Amino acid sequence: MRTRTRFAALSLVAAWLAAAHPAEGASPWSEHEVVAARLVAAPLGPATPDAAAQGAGGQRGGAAARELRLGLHLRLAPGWHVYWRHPGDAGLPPEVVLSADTPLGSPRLLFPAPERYELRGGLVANGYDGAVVYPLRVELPAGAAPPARLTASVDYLACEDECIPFHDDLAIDVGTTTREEATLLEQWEARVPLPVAARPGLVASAAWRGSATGGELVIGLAGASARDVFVAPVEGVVVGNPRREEGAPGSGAPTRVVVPLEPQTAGAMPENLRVAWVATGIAGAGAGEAVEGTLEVATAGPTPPSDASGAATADPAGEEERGAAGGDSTGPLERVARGAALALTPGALAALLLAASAAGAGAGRRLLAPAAAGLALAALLAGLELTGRSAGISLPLAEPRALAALALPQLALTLALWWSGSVGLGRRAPAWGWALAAALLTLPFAPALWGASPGLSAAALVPLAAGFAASWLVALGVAAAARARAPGEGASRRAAPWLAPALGFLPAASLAWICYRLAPALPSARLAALQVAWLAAGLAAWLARGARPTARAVWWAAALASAAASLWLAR
Amino acid sequence: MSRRTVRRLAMALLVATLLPACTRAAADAKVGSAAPDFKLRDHEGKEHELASYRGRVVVLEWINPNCPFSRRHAEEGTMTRLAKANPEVAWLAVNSTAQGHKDFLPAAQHAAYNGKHGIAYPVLYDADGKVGHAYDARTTPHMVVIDEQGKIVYDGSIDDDPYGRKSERANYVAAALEAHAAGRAADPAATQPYGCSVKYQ
Repeated sequence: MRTRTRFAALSLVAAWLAAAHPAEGASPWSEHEVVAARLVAAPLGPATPDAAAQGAGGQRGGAAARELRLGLHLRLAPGWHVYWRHPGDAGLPPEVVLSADTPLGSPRLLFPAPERYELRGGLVANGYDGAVVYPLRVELPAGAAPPARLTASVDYLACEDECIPFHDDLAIDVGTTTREEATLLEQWEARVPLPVAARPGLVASAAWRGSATGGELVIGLAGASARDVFVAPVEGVVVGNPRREEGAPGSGAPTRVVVPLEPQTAGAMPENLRVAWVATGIAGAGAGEAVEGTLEVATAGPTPPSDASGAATADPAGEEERGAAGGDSTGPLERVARGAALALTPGALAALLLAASAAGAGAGRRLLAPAAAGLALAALLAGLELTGRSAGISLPLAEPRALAALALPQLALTLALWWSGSVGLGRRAPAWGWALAAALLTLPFAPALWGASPGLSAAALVPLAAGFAASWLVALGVAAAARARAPGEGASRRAAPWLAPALGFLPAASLAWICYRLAPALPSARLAALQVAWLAAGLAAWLARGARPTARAVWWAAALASAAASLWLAR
Repeated sequence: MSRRTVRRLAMALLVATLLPACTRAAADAKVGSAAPDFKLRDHEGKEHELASYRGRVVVLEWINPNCPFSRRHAEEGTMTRLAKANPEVAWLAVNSTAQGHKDFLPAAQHAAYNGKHGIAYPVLYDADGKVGHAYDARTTPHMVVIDEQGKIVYDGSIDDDPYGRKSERANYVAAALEAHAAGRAADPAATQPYGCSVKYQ
């Protein structure tokens, strides 16, 4: 064979060998049954400058001129997860110890935005499934040459239902990397939460509602809705799992989550809390859509401003002086309007229309009932909130059990309107009956209409009650006047048969809204069971139609069983 | 019973259902508070009531033999050595694994596990998880130290070495027992426990 041909043949062989074994920056995979681990690296050189570090652990430091960008890449079997820096009720984040043939600075392990996983017994874990790359930044001392090879001693915990701790020793040739691994690392670096100031228009706030023995931290995010909010451990405090009160994911509505806090030791809560938080799924926050921040809250006395965009944090004590309700700076007139809107909530609207249908000429005395309804609503809420606050009891209207309990009068009204054809609350209904019914039927909607975290005061409730009472007085006054001009009793009586079933759809809509509010707070299986309990009550009511006492007893038994099941399922 | 009475009872019942929802849940056991009493049977069928140990320091250890962390401490003898060094202290292991869970060990298997690792103290079965929830036990292991008057003096992890890599570890339970014997408060009195999640039902 000629020299030129031999040379060409050798070149082809060399090219094939190179293609089959490309220079890799990544370490080889360390394979286990349920997880595999390796190190990946980005090209050596100045890292992209980032904002100054803030919040939960200084994740995004200002990148040094010479900094190694590495990543711990984990690939997990289906159903298994590894952990975030704050793993939740159980679990452990990874630990990495680096060594090299040249001096290295301390490595910084960064954590992308996590997901939340439900475990048995109501426990939760925060972490990652499928695959994750934990970015790792290593600063090179000034003047130091980068190491040719770097070794990482890695400990991490992977769990499904069982947990398995793993240890791997991974080595990587620094300075050689493929575009694929560099891109992978960049994608996961982008998922590390940004400081909240990097997301224009997002305002974070916090308010404390509780007492020295414990309570709830209410974190509000205005300007975006978050998919989830995570709270870091707080020294001296037991941090419960966040519960969403407002702002369904993707709705665009402001997010409000409630985090139960108790002192870690018997005694008082720390007077000042510094709470680090991460919100995920924030549109416009960058590729990873996560932001983080720190909020300071006083558990006694005025609250300092929040850290985001100069917006003031809710200040319960101050708001009482100003007469505002829970971080809301609306005036009395707007609150009157909100009170009037309470009468338009489905359950209360059904009761109002029934009252209007029963109102007749000369029903002036019965108009006291709606006024009593408004005042009873105010008294009920104010009494529970104001007198209970000193005992550390706060009106948890958005708590699952409270919502499930408030669903029961909605359910009862729905079934009564659909199956019995008669509510039993007619002209003979006493004023207190209308007042209590209206109060129970409007309570589930109250937080949404009040529009902010509760921090109720008498000054806030009175205009709400006045608006509610005024709307009822106007509606019933108009109805009474119209009935006074009606052709006669016969026409009114003919309207009744279709009115009751039609009105039944209004409290039924209330039940659907309550399900929507319960959805983020309850496991889906329990929510489904709750709906089955309501359906069972409806079936019992349908079967119990008629005048037979046995059938009625069955209905009552089913109703009580449904009520008990609802409260148990919403625990 | 008249219809009016029935209606009034129904209204009262609906209001009564609201009341539990308006109160905060009772605080879990924490350092400085009274340890919730319990009565549980051990793997040999003998009943143990916490109140009967009044006058002695009690150490509660939440375990799960199928949890790598719990098993590592059993293999290393972390608590068995401490129990032998403190014979005046009552040591009780609690297993809150649900009975239907694959990690649940019947009594005979638990006895074999105990024998293999030199665990001479009782292992109490809490299959319905009530005691675990009362103490807010979330991991295995999880440690609680109770003084002679029934007050919790330490709550948290066994030590400061979750992955078991340190050559020198700070054993928080040993430190709490030492501090209590010296008339001092444990420091730290509460730590974040580590390990597998308790396999509640």
